[in-house]
Amino acid sequence: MKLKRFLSILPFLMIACGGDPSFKPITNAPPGAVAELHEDRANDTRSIRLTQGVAMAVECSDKKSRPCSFDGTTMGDESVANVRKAYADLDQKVVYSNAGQQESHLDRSVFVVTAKKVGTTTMNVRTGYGDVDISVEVLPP
Amino acid sequence: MTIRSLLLVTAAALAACSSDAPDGTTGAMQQSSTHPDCAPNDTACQNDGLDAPLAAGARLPLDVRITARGVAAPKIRLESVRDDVLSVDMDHGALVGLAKGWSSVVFVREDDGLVMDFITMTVEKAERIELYRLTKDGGAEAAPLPDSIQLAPGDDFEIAVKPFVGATRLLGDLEASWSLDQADVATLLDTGRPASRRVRVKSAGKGTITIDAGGFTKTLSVEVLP
Repeated sequence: MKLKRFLSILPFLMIACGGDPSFKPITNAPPGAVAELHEDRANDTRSIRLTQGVAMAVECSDKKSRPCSFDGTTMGDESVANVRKAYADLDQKVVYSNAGQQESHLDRSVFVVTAKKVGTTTMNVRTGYGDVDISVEVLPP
Repeated sequence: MTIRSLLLVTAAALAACSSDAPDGTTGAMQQSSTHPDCAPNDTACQNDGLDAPLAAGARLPLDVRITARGVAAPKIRLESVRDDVLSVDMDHGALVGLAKGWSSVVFVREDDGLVMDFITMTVEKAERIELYRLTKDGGAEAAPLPDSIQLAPGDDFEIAVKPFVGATRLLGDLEASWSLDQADVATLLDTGRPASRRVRVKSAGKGTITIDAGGFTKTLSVEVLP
């Protein structure tokens, strides 16, 4: 394989090999409240901080950059926070596979976390390529 | 393309966007539009949306529209994140303010609980109430009524009590009790909404309308001229 051709498919190979699952907030906190998502890739930990009473929508992609499967996602203590699948009127996500030979346009995966009671709990997200734990901290208003 | 033509195209694009923009308050995910359930001709109410906090103790009938592209609005249910701040009366499609604070209200599809959008409402405790005359389209006049007014026999209009915190008029209808000390001067007709009454003036004389709402008392002296 010539170097030029190899370099042209390298990005697709890197995507196919996989990275980390990613989470991206698509809503903001109301004034005076907190709605934050933190990722520490060094130690592979994630956390969400929300003010009590606030909701936050988050887009989820698995380590192959595909939309998360989400089904089976659970919240450790549902009296502290709740998680639900959401509909998102967003453009579809383009995903490449098989070294760039296949291109798919997939519906995005979005969930909404609602902060019900001050406290901490852990959410277990099903991504489709492994589960991911996210610590959820609900702050007093 | 010259700068001038670029500006013209931009202005046209912005105008097209604004004409398609839904009235009311857009949801956090930009997939819904919400405004108080207004009188049909009250365009100010329809356009303004949820432009103020909800009063504690008040009830706010809502009109929620799902505006996601290409989606016929499904049957939705409203859920409050904090039941101690505000509750949802689904029988009447209304939010009920309970205590000072804020809470998101989530719009979920009735069938499977799929979240379609959400808004965050603030609830404030009212500091006072004011009395407003309602216009024919159902909206409140710009300024509250003074403590006394003069009327003529045959006058017929609607008045409503509105909660305030500071200079901000709060959303929602408070439960209110209404009384008139001189029944021969005018009649207070029940409009079906607790926070408003229709005043039908009968004959010359003086009387006082007393309204108790949200722990506050307001009086309006009326003098009917011959």
